[in-house]
Amino acid sequence: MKINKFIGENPQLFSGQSPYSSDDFLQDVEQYRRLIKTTIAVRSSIKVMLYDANIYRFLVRFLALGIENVSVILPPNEQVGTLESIAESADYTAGNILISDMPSIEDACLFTEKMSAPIWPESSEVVFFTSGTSGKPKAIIKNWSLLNKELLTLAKLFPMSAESAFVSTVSHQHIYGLLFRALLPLKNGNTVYQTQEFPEHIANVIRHHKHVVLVSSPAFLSRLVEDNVIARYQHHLHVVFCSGGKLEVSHALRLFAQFQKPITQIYGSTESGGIAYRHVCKPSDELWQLFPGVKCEVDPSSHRLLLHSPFVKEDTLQLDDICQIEQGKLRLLGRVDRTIKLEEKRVNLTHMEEVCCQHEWIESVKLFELKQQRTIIAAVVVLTPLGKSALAEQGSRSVTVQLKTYLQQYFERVTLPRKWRFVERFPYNAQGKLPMNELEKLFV
Amino acid sequence: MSDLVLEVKMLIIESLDLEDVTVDDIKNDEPLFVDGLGLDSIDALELGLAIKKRFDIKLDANSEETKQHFSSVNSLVEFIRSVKNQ
Repeated sequence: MKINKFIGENPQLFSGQSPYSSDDFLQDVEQYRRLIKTTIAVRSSIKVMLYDANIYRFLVRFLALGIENVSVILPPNEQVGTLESIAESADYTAGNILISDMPSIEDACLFTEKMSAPIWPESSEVVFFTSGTSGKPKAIIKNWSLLNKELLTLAKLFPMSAESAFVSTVSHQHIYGLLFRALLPLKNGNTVYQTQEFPEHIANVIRHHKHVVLVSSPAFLSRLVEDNVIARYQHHLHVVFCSGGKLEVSHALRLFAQFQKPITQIYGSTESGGIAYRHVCKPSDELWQLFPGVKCEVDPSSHRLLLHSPFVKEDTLQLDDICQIEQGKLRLLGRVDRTIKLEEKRVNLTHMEEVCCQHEWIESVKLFELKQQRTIIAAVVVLTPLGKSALAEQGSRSVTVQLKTYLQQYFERVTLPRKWRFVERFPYNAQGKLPMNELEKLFV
Repeated sequence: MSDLVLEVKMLIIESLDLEDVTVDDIKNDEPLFVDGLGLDSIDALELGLAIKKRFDIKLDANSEETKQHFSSVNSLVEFIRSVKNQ
């Protein structure tokens, strides 16, 4: 389909100090296609790593690369360690990242030949990275045809009026943000706002629009509920989406009371795409309604979810989620492995332990989830002789700061262990087991 | 250290449940986020909540201004004073 037919027309498609219309957007996509053409001669096996925190710049590049049939790699964050670990699968960078020895499309000179009419991307690859169960960042390869199927399903399932404005607290580098806050409003021709951090800033946007869609996450909503400065504009809120992790039922219920409408919670992952959604209006609203076209089974022995979805390549995808099916709906019961989610950031504890042990101060380490004021990762560490002398000379604050700085090359800041204990040996019991409650006692 | 500076530092330590950090570790003009004290984006939300509650003030609707207010202890103190004096 011609791209100008696919994208909804809007004189204010992107909001900001200088708004961009859908025509401006399409012109910038054309400009960027020229840069791609100048930079990359043969495009078939080329992969471009794209990161840009600015939603407008990101979408211009993402779409231009798709139209030119170039595969795109989307790093989950801009940490140097993350970018470097992904760098070997990429040939070029695009957006506001730089990697030494890798050419950037941004550096190209413009070429002015006439271009073919742009067609909405259908076939090229889009690669996401998540923290895999094996412990290593894992590439999840999708292509535009799968994204398009999901996009059209979402557009049909969650219809928006023409004057809707999308405001968001989540990044478009991840699949949830990419679909819900970037491609969906683009398709609808709804106004797109840059990512906002504080509730007050979102309130300011909502104030100016009659019909607002908030694309958010448990990290944001669980704090918003404590002082809901948006609630007074509840009549302007059309939908509040929440995904990326688990929103506590208690929070969902309080938000329902504050907004007088339920949060639209989305269950899915990068691998699986969107699976189901739910609205929690009372404590018993626990079941998830499957997206149209999605079918689920439960593996009889492991109770793991077996997914049959039009949004994934595989006919059957086994997930790491344990669940039950009741009246055609899903009840989620937890995860099978050591991958946890902290503020929607997936982190594999085995992976983080391995990375810790590569540090010269750390002999061995046990990491676990600790639910206190905020759910955090706690670290119990046995130090090497070098680590012990560092601790004796510099004190524990300095040592933990340096360890966190080291870990931050590989993990996002919000996932870093916030509490550290240094022990001579782990509290193994007589049976040779390391009981969780013994580890937890160290943090009381 | 003025009372308000001390109070803001104590509030940062308590509301964010920071371990091994004393008021002396927090420099008045050092960045609170990323470099410096090394707070993260969730800390920003939590600290915003704590400041609003403790001092009964509202945050701006302008994101650049908020960023500026939350950049260091000094800027936070200045922000709280300016609001309280209005």
